[in-house]
Amino acid sequence: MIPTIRVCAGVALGVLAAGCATSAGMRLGPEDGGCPDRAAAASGGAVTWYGPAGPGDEQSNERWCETVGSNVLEAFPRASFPSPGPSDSVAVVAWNILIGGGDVPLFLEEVLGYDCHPTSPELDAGFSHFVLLIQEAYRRSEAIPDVPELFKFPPRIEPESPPEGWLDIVELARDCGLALFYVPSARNGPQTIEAEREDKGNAILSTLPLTDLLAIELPFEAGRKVVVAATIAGASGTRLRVASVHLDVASTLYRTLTTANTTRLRQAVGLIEALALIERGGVTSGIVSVGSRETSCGDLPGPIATVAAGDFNTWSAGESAVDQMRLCFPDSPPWDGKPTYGSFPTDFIFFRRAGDGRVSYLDGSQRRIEKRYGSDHQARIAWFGRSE
Amino acid sequence: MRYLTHLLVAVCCISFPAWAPGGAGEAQAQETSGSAGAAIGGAALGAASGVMLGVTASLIPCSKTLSQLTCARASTLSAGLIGLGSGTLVGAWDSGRLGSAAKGAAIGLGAGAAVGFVLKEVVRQYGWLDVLSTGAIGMSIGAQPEGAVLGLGAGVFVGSILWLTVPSFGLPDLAAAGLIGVAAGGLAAWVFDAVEANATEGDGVTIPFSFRI
Repeated sequence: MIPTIRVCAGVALGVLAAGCATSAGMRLGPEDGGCPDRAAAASGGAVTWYGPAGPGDEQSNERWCETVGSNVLEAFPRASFPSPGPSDSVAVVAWNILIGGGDVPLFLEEVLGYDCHPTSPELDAGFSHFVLLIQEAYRRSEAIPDVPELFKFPPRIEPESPPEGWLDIVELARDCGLALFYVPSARNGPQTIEAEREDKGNAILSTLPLTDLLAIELPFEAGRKVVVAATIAGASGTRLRVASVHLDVASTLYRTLTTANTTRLRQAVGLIEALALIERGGVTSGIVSVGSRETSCGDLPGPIATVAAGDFNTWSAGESAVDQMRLCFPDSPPWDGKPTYGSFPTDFIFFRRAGDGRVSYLDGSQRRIEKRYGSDHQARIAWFGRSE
Repeated sequence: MRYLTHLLVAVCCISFPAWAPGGAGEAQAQETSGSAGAAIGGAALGAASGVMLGVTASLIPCSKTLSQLTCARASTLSAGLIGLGSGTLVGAWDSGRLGSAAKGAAIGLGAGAAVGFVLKEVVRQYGWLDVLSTGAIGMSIGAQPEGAVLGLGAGVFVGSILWLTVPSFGLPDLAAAGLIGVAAGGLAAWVFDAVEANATEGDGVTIPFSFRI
């Protein structure tokens, strides 16, 4: 009887003790280590990196980072688009494309009026500029590092019926003539002998040039997640920062128990802390106790209008991660009550205006796209434009 | 956070004698009547079971508040204290009953760990700590299996009705209802055990508590 009691009491005390220790804090520029992207950033690359301040998070992210290839940046679209006019709006789409399973060209044609023919892409008359905030983009490349099998790779995800050609994100951007910013988070499966290696992550595809490029590594839970963000410019100097977000679906059971299931809240807080840090021009944010209402949204309204959208992997629309995002993105489109992944409301578009109030969400414009286009997620779309 | 540290120290102080060879021997020697060692062993088992039930029950409901951690701590501590108190009384008044709970906890620990081991082989990011975690959950249920199963049934029943009738009540809420049922049933069983142990109490015992905070 007593050995059992000892084990049980030990575990319970462990749960109690660890329950004190869920925190988040962010800082500029994670150590470069052996990760190629960070090394480039450290030597003055185009992308500014932010990451969690905690050493445990940093080490885990570093291990994963070493297994993926470098980011891909095509800051300017190859196709020629008309400059946006003062009264033009921009469509922002959040879509998890299931490792290329989502038929992006067909989506662009049917939803956004854009024919991404490889030789003569064309935006139909009457359709606006657009930005696609993509999750689960993938890239095939021999340049992805050859990593020892000792590393526990995430399992390979392969869509059941990929669209014709099954283009990776780099090929998609090239064929469609769009600007691209892609940062891989993790490998898509282990080493392959004959096929090229694959990695996956978040990406931004845009008809407008991308500037002020940011890669934000989130606090590590079950896997490495990197938010990619960039700024697009409209007419008369209006600017909109857009961020493609993908949070973890679940952590390990031990972490779930000892952090009171704050997996996604902690990552959302990490993103919010990083954005506050970026807008204030600081180097390190304070360490906040997650789940205790300590999170700082930064100065609201901030210096730049910001959209943060993507797959938050939430089980309900009332989850704390969603509430936290809404608190810090007070001008967000209201949720329409429609799930986007089976019966789960996983995908959201959050927005906050800048102090100048020049860019705003166009009321009533957010909607769920009913067709899945081969993905397991439905996309969300909303329009943003000059305030009246 | 300070109150949690204090409770942690208090639980350590209370359960420490049960971890020592003397306390273990004394508790094992008792069959039907209580003893100080059995009371302390009961406190440790009850607290451990209560903590695990409390934290498991809090996982989904508390994820719907921005004070998520505070909510989870409150649930865990409340359940832990109920388990602690009930376990102490069960041990003090009826160590035979405590022995049954400990035997069930051991079986639950083994069964939970076995499930955890299978998960570890299947789920990439799972490790030995997760095996221990499933074992601990199994232990908390195994200590009071009847209460936990009845609670699960009641929770799923109520949750199902709500799921069918309230549009905003989703599948995660149904799962939460089941987990809350397990915890409530397990804790209720601890309390009932303490009450029943009191009814069959023999000569009674003196419980030597000492707190150092």
